[in-house]
Amino acid sequence: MRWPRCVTGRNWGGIGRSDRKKLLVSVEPNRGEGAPWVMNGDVHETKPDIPPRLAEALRRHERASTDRINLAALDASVLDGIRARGQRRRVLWRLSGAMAAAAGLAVALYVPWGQNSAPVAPMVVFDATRPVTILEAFRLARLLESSRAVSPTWDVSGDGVVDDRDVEVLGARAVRLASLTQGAPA
Amino acid sequence: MADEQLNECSDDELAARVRRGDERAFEVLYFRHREFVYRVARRFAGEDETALDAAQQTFAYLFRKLPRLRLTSKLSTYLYPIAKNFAISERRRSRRDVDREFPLGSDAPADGGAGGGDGEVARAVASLPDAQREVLVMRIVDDMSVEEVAAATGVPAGTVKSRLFHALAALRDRPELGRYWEE
Repeated sequence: MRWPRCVTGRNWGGIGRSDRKKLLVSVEPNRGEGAPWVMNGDVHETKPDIPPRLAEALRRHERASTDRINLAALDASVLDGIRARGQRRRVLWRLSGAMAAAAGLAVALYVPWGQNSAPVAPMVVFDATRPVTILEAFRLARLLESSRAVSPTWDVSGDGVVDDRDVEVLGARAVRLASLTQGAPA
Repeated sequence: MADEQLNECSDDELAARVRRGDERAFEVLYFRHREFVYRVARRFAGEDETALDAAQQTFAYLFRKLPRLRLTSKLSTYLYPIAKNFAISERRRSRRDVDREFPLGSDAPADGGAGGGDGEVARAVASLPDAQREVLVMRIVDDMSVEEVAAATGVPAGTVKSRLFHALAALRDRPELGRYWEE
């Protein structure tokens, strides 16, 4: 069988640069496995495969490099590495599962659920029998700032609510001089 | 699933099983593509040890990527550029002085060897430009279609055909290979 000749770099003979470009372009227009091969304007229906003996010689030579090497070393390194990685992954999954369970348990044990289980601080009561100091005013101011319930005993102003005015009254009482109190007109 | 049934699965099905944690499916994939990957790595690495390292890295990379990998073509098309790039980088790392980037046929026997004309065929192929030699060997030795070669090398199918034509034309012009063309 005579194989069709095609244009190569050595067979340009006398063809100008622009013509070369056209010829090169004409090599490529048909795409896909089953498309006919076009070379230099001629359509070759037969796929220009390599002659079978030449292909076989090339395969034999190429595979000789594979055959002479023992791929068992590759098997051991790849598969052992994959198994070890899989083992590590399983251990990590189990560890992360155990840690998640432990965290859930800790949350269930220590985080208060609902209002009933919340620790309730004892309500601070104003002791009117003791002499008033500036600390009482400070304590009431702190109580009002917090969201805790305030005892009605702190209503020293007598207006029915415990608020900033009671802090002012307590402060005024604490800093009032005894001589002024005694000398004041009844 | 039994090993025989796994062997009959397609690459895509095996990849899906690996994603579900089946390591035996990966072993089937490995043994299915082991020689191809080593052959590609050997082609670009130029020597056995470097090729083994590159093949190992290729499969480790595949195992890492499989959970997110969605195959749109054959697995060999996906593996080819990975094995090639690992082989080239491994060869650079080993700092061995290899003249050609693609040393196919460099270890061909000078007298043609015991296999008749295998050595002269290998030398003739080795003398081709890199791009032509690559597509020729993929097409003939790796038995890949033009589309698969195009996908693996990242060039259009028309360019692959063109390179094949020029490679074959150059081989046909070599007088020592003339007898192959007169069959």
